[in-house]
Amino acid sequence: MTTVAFSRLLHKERFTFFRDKTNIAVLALFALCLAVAAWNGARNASLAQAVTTAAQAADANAFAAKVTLLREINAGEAEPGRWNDPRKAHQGVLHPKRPLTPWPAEMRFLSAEADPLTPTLIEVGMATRHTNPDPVFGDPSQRLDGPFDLIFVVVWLAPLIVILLSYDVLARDRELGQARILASQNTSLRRIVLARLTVRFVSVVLVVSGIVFSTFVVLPGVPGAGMASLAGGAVWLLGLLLFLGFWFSLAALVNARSRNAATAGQTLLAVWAGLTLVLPLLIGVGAKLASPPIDRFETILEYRALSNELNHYRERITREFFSAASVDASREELGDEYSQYFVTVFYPMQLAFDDKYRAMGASVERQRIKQTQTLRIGAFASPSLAMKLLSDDLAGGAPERRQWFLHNVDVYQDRWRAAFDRKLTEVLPMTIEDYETRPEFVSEPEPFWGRWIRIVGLLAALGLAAGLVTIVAWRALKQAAP
Amino acid sequence: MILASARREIVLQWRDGRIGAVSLALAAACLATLFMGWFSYQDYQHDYAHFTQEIRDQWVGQGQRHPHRAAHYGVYVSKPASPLSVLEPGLAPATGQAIWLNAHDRTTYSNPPAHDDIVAYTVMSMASPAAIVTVLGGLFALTLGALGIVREREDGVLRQIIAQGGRGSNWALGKLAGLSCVVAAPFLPILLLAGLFLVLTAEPSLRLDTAMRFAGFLAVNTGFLLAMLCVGLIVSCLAKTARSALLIAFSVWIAVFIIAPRGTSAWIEAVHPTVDWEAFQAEITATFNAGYDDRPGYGDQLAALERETMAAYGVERLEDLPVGFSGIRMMHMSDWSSEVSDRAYGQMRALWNRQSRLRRLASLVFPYLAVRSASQNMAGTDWSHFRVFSEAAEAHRRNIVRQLDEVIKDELRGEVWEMDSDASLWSQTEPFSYQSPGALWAITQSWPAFLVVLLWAAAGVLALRHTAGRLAP
Repeated sequence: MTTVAFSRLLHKERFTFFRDKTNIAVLALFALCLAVAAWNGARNASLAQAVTTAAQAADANAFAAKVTLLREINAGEAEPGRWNDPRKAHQGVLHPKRPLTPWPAEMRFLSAEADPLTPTLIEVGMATRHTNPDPVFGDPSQRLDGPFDLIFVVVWLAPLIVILLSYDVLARDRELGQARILASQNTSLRRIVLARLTVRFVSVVLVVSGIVFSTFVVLPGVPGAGMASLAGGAVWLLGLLLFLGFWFSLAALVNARSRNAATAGQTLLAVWAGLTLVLPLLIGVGAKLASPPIDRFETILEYRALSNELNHYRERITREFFSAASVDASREELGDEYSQYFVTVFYPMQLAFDDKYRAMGASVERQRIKQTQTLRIGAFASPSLAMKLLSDDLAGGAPERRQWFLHNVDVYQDRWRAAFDRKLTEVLPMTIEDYETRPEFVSEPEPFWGRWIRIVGLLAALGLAAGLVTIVAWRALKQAAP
Repeated sequence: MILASARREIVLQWRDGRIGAVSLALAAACLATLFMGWFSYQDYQHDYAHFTQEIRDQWVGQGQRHPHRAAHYGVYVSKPASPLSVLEPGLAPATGQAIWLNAHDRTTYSNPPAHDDIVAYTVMSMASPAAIVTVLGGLFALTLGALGIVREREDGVLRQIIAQGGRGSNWALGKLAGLSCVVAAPFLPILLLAGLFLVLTAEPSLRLDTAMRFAGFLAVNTGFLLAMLCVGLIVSCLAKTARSALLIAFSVWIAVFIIAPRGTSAWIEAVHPTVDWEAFQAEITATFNAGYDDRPGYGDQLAALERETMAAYGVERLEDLPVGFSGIRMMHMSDWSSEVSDRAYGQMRALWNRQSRLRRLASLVFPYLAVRSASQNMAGTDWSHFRVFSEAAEAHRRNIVRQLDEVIKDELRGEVWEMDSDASLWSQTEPFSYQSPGALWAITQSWPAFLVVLLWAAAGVLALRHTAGRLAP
């Protein structure tokens, strides 16, 4: 058959496909689900952006207010408050926490999770330990099933839509006895099935990519939108093509073997349940056995044991800290008993605590990464899992991103402490310049290679699955009897 | 005729090897998740006992500290697992394992297992007996029902039955009875044995409660599966071919079990959005500082407190007070903070109730939401049980903080702040004890869900009787 003939076949199949009202209804329902999911994701991303902007504005205003008050005190126009004296470092910079945000994810709106693994915002100061306790606020029933977002619709619903549209692409002709008539014409069954599936494939891809990229480009104020995220968008689109290609090829394979449409439908649904629900669950059990999740009870106990241990040695910690800083901790200038406590006990204890806790905190993050790495290997057996992990990654839900952000936060906290450490420990008065030249946090993207190697790995898993099934389906269709 | 039809249906299904294989697979899945649930319950019980004891030991053995700093160090409390959480872990994975009780602020659950476990975050989990019974059992019931009558029509059996003067409604009710036995077969014996085991292994004081809760769990799940079977049979009455009946049954399953739970949450979120934790905290801080209605903010209240305390003790300066003013200040601060947070949490509870009402409304259309909610409630793993626990924890927090603040007031003089207390004080604070509410309380919380399932089952049987009465060959 020539190319022209195939395009005619495509044209005919397109006409037949769109004449069927059921197909239109299924596509419309799918588009509706996608639109709702996209709206959810975009709204969530905008809310996160609003929270971040508000926190940053509040932070800037608080420092501006300190500078203004300090100016007025210096000019003799205002009196410092007992609990609000910007000249005292322990009041001006020890307690305030700065809102830090991670580098934006390329396609944040794919997920409607409030914090897809990496917190949207962390508040960090000289005396904080960013343990990120993930408070559960609100009725957890709202989050039990996960959000209705694009990741859910694409990973779980899109294959079902593919099955609904193509479970009977050849089997029904066999059931009605029309397959023999089709085979008797000078067009092979394989080409007919290819044309039918191509029409369906293009329709589904156009619906998904149309809605996703409209959200990507058109909606204003969606973080991650714009030219910088186009690479992420292109990667996701490639993943989507491979993922849908896998399911359409699977439909072709099942149709090549099935005698009737009901059996083909049941088989495809069983495969969907297997690859989307059961296999990821089994891979998950394997991942849990290989790297068990963190035992939070044990973590809390360790955390508190550390706090108790340091409390027992607090005088020694103070002595060692001030001897290292060559400052006399019992000086009169340290101020009232509150200043004394914060400068001589609280701050040295925080540093000692941090020093010991960092290793504990890092091991928690490593555990998450280990589990995900096992899941990524398992994704070679389940395209649904591969697509989920790819989408999560582009939406900002990879544990490596979280680890990188927390590492940057640690670095920044060290800078922040270094900037004011001497002012605090030597009880030197804070100046306007100190406030105005305070270090700012600049979020950085993850290192390029680490990031893209795992993305390429997931694309390879999808490509392998799609390629293998396509080859098997192609051969099965070649041998398919009418 | 009903009995004869039921008996025939059971024999037919028994002879179909595929049904036997599916039943075996479902029973195996139910059993596997039951064992997983039992082992994780046992683990949790062990960890819980160890954690509770260690937290107490750490509190008493914290060493010398200022009482207020000890309040900041605080204690952790954890909700004990109920025996039926083996069957339905409910919200436990999505809710925190422990609440940190510390000075000043009411805290919330934190560190939910699902946040630490990437597998739970990534994979859609069905790893509980309740999920197997409702989600897969629901699919089984829908499929069996959907093929139940239409296949007889395709084979010509229906024509013979009608020709012999048999009443379609009685014949269909017989099918319903027979298929009910088939659907129950993979689950009922296992669940009954599991229930008996859980009742017998529960603490003696909890046995009656566990038995009542189990009966509720079993009743609501049975009613739900019956309703799904009726839906399948009604589809089967109306469909022309087995293919279309199956397609409709699968579509119903996808809509009810896959789309509805998330779709409902999204709808509720759009109508009554959950308030962000940071925004909620910021609101509390702002109210604390600025006051509300005719109540002044903390700064003004503190100034008034200083004046009133000095007047009460007849002194001119805080330094001259015969009691520790910092203790009085801390107590006042805690009281004001409690008042502000009670007000904010009252608004929050109203929001959660509004969300809950919408979920109940949605469960009228999607009964899976109702059966899940009732099962979680019976298992003691729903939000109402977690809320009761957090209220008890908050009451305990306030008691401890007040006790510590009173020591500051009694042992200090004037405006001095620094002091240290030791284990003799820490050991005087009462350990946290918690008694989960009983089964009758639980039923009062979830009766609407029970009612929805009952309505679906009753309406399903009546609708089937009506539809089958008009069966045509």
